[in-house]
Amino acid sequence: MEFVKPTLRPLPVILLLDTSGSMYGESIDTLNVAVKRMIESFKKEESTQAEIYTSVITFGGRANVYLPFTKAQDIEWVNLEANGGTPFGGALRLCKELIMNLNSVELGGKPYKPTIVLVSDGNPTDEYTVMLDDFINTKRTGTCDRWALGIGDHADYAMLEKFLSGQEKRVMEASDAAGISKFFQIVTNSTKVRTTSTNPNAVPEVSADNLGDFLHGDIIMTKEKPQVKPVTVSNAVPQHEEQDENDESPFTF
Amino acid sequence: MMNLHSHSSNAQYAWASVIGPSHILNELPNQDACAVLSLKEGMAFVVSDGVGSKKHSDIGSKEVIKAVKRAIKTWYQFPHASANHLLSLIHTYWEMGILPYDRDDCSATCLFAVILNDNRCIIGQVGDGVILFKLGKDHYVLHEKEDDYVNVTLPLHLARRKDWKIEDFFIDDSFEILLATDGVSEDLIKEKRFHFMTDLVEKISDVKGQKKKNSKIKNMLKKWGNPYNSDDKSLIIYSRRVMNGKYEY
Repeated sequence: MEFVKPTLRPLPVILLLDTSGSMYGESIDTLNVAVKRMIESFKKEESTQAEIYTSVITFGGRANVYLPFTKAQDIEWVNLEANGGTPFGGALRLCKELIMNLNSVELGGKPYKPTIVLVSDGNPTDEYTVMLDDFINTKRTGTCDRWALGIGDHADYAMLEKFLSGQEKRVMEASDAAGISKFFQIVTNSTKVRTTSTNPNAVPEVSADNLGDFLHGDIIMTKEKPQVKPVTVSNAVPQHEEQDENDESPFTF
Repeated sequence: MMNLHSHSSNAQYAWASVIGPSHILNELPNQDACAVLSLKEGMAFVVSDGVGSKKHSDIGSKEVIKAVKRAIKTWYQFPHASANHLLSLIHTYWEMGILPYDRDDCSATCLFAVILNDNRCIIGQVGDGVILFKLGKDHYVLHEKEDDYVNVTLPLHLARRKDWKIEDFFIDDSFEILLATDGVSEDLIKEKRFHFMTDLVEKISDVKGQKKKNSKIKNMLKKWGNPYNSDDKSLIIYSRRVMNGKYEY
């Protein structure tokens, strides 16, 4: 039937990865292994609901689309290298461009809610605050499923928390290689759940209880943030739920 | 304006609804509902898509059909009533119709068109799906959907007046309309949607008898061009053309 797209709808995953000089050594090596594992895991996914397209944006020295949206099967991962400053604002700008242009990119159909994964171990070295405000307040970017991992004590956790604002997800912290690896396992798992869900736009709730082994020990811990509900790291609440409960008159002239 | 004849003798239409593969797999019912209603007030077309995750959404979608029918019949008795009143009645009848179930458990979309005997046409949509129509040579999409992750689809019971997409006009020319749930609309190539509509009209023109016309559509939905689409699929196609001042087909 020539009027119909015979394709799975795409589920875009964008990795926003800090490749600045401070990531040099174990951090970048672990990140490479973790991303490679994620892609390998995506390759094994045989969903009939959605197809994952991964893009990687790096910010180390300069912001760069390291990998445009590509099906997992078509990705030959080439290891990232770490050097230079941390131009996070530039990376966010590129990320926004990718999302705003998603419909004009030939991914094979109307995209499901993109997942954006931010990993950083330090403070941005460019002016990023205006871009970050814009990113989280723009509907198409601000409604994406966002994750954030801080590596070590020098990560800018205030920036990472702001990146997640508007969601119930919490910033995660990895103190070592195992933590980075586990974070990527969690994100991979959550994304794969979405690809097999009857509604891939719904982000599965990820709590300490159903993370199981992912939260064993204290390798990964949610940053303490007492004002937020404890342990829940993900929960997308449908935007319309709150408006109706006490309103018995849904229709007004 | 041309003196147009009654719709019934010159028009043709067909409708079908097929259960999605994932619903068969999970032993769920078809959560879509669709109907062509031939009423003394005119002709009405309704499709509704029950929200997949809700346990009584199949009831919700069927009640949308009944609510639209009841609303038209009541509304028609008041010559000065506006389209807003019709919408209000649809809400009210649906809310009563689903009782004793909870509104949220019965979440469903509502796409309808009614062509009254005086050729006034009211088209309305809340929630996902698509309504395409041609009036003379002009093509219209009632509501162009944004990415669905940006705007969560609104079921009927959560919709306010501002959430309704409505057109209210008189038909004085050839007219075709397609109403489809998102199981159909999500797969359509945007630039080819109206070709699809024309193709449907041609398909049902090839056969005589309502059952055969419906079967033609049903077979097409069963052999849907996207094997990955696991959703329920429903559509209604309606067409009438004007030739020499008369509708012909």
